[in-house]
Amino acid sequence: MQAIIVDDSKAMRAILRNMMEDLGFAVWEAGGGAEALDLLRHQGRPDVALVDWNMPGMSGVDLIRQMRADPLLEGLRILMVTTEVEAARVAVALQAGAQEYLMKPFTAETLQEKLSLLGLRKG
Amino acid sequence: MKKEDFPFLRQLAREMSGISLTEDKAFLVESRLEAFASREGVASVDDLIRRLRQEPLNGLHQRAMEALANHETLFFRDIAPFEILRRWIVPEILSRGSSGGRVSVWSAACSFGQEPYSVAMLLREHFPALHDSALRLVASDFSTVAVERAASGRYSQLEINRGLPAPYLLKYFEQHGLEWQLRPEIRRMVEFERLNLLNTLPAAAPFDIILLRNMLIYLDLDLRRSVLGRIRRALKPDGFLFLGISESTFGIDDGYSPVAVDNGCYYRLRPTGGLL
Ligand SMILES: C[S@@+](CC[C@H](N)C(=O)[O-])C[C@H]1O[C@@H](n2cnc3c(N)ncnc32)[C@H](O)[C@@H]1O
Repeated sequence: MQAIIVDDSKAMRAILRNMMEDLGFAVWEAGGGAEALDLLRHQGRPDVALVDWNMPGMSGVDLIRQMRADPLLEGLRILMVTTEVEAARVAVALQAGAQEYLMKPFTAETLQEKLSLLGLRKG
Repeated sequence: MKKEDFPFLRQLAREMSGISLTEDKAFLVESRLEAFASREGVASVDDLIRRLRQEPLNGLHQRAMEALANHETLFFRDIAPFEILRRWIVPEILSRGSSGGRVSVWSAACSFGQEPYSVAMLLREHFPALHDSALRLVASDFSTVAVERAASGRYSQLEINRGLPAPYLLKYFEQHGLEWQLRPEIRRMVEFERLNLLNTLPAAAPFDIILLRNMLIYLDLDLRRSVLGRIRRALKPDGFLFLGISESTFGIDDGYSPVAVDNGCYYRLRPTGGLL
């Protein structure tokens, strides 16, 4: 299974990469929305996208809207991973097209629990 | 903690909760008792144990044994049981003429309430007609602290991060600062009580569905057998029992037979099992 991690923090990407690789995912990384869209255009659709909210340039929510508008990415599961913890924010992310929402801080276990809500199990 | 205190604690736990304290848990037991002693204003673990030894059984013993319980839980834990309830079991019960459109559920070791509330949200979402007199949803735990917290329906950010689908968070919770409060419409669906599975069954028994998940693992074999035997009497003859993912009735109680469905498994009473 393949996952794209979109986060402007290199440290956060490394943490997520480790956790996802432990769960058996092949991981692609992007430091921002534009880079992510570019990567997706070349690599095709992964199984899941882990998207941060606050990034310079394109926000995570805008990125999600763009991914949802792209027919080639149909079926992509999207998990927002963010420090935004307001209910209103969760609502915005879901409206944009994220299916699940993980609040920072989190552990490898909570990440795995969210992935299994998306129908992605370990193995 | 003195070495000779461990067998005493082990016996106390066995009698009061059934939780099996093996030597390899000595360190864990001591650190939990240390935290407990300081909450209770007792100077040290040794003082605490002295009191437990000297005093006749009282609230202190109960609370100390509660402090040794593991309350680990999350919303929609393992998912499969909830999917099976939604896809197969609840529709089957409702389609039986004998059910009269009513369903009864017991979450028998409910910890902080995530398990019974997951059932409640699932039913509200997919079987909206099941409420008030059509639904009996009972949840219990041996720990007073756990039952009180569960009944409050208040959860931390860490807890709502675990297993709860984001759309349910928006629909069924209200945010209060860093905490999330379950809405009254869901809270009202669940009746909580403090109940020790070693010796009691809820007054509302028997049930169509019982969740007894991730509790038997903490018990010795003979106590597992006795709890499963008692649970048999709390289950309707055509009822459904769910255990935790690493638990089974195999080799313990042959009154049950396992049924594997989708990615999960539940147990039914063998035809003669419940009547003997
Ligand atoms: C690990 S939790 C399981 C919670 C939930 N069923 C789940 O699967 O996520 C185990 C619970 O069993 C409770 N427990 C332990 N001994 C018990 C007993 N003798 N009677 C009732 N509950 C007991 C503990 O207090 C604890 O809350």
